[in-house]
Amino acid sequence: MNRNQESPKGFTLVELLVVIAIIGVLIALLLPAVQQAREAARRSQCVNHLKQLGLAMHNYQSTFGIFPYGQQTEVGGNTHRRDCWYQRILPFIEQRAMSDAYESDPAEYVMYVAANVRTAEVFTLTCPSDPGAPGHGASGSSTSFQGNYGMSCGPGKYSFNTSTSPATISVTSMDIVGSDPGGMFYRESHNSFRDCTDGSSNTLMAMEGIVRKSGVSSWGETGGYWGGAPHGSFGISVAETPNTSVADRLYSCSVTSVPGAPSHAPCENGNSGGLPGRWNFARSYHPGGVNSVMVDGSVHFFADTINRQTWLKLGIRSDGQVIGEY
Amino acid sequence: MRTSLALFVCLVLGASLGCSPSTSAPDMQIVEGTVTFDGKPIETGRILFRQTEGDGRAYSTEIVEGSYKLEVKQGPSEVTITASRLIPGKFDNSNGTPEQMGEMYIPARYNRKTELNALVTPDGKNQFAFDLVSK
Repeated sequence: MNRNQESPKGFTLVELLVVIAIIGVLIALLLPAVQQAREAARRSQCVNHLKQLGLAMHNYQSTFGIFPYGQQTEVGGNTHRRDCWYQRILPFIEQRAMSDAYESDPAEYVMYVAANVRTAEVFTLTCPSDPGAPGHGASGSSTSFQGNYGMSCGPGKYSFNTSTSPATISVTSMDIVGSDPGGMFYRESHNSFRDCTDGSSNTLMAMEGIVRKSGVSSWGETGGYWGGAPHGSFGISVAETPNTSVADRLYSCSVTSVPGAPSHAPCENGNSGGLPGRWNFARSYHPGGVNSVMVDGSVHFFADTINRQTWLKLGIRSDGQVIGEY
Repeated sequence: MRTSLALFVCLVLGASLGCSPSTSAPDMQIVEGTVTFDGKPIETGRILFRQTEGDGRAYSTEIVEGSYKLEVKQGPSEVTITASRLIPGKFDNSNGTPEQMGEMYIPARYNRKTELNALVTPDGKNQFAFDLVSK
């Protein structure tokens, strides 16, 4: 009662400061967590998109008994030169109208088909964590749609060193646009489930990449489905681990590095640099790794720190090696 | 009053605990140095360190005005160096429009069939200078 008489109501300034400080600390703890929740939501959306891609591939396989080719060999005079898996699976990702418009288009090259077809954004093939998505570019025109996903091509030419135990794989030529780089999808690939003898749950089907800069005319970066295929756009190599600091090597880059991306997503201009071989590596804006879909349709998150040998074995469809934990 | 102040200080200190920037992956060392070709610094190019033991992981960065700096996992590495220049008047027409071509002018013994090595150690300065020659 005495105390009440000393301070009948209210509180002191210091008490107020302490309360404000406590609230401030709580908000400071909460805010970054909220932002992480947003990224987690975007990542699960990306997982869902890869799952859709995997299902589309399975439906294509059920219809034709085989997975689509990574890309088609260009034949002079033919229509739709540079056609790749993207155009093949359009009917299976609920884009039948786009597919019909494309198939009836008489253009010689896919980059010259009607603009409303090639610029249409297919949300299912974009990753919401990528600030550049949905992208446009990577296939000559600065307006053609550029997705985020590429099929798993394998590492290129490789050899086994059996003097170590387990045997180690060394990549002797990283090119993915040449003949059979070892994965499930490449030029004129005609693989089905029986061809991945390592098992469909142990073999990669598709990975994600990033859109370095949208709205730039360049050739070959991941997702340039409308003409970039022979320069590397159709696929992703497993020769280096996800988000590697080793540069992608394409016909031409939109930009050679992205300051905000993991490892700055370096890129080399293959044509103006006179550099042989073409490849994209798996890259993403998700913290610490990339999402990928396996041939069986399951989607997994692969850390940047994954053992490179494990990553190679996951990408090669018939290496016969024990994969172990990852 | 005093106890409230002490409480406030404790709260602020406690809240800032664990907020120091996380360090990079273990066993990573900063490697830096210079690259010259026939005595002149390579203006733009790329250098790559590939582990010759373990899983064969590679680390790469740009060479800018003859010097480079990157993080490499400790242990023995083989080193490859590439640099390019445009060839005046030579164009590629595979896309229907002419685009200027270039050449990679560093000899194969420094990249495709590299003879360069570096041992990255956990202690000591990891400075490697590469003086390449055309012949």
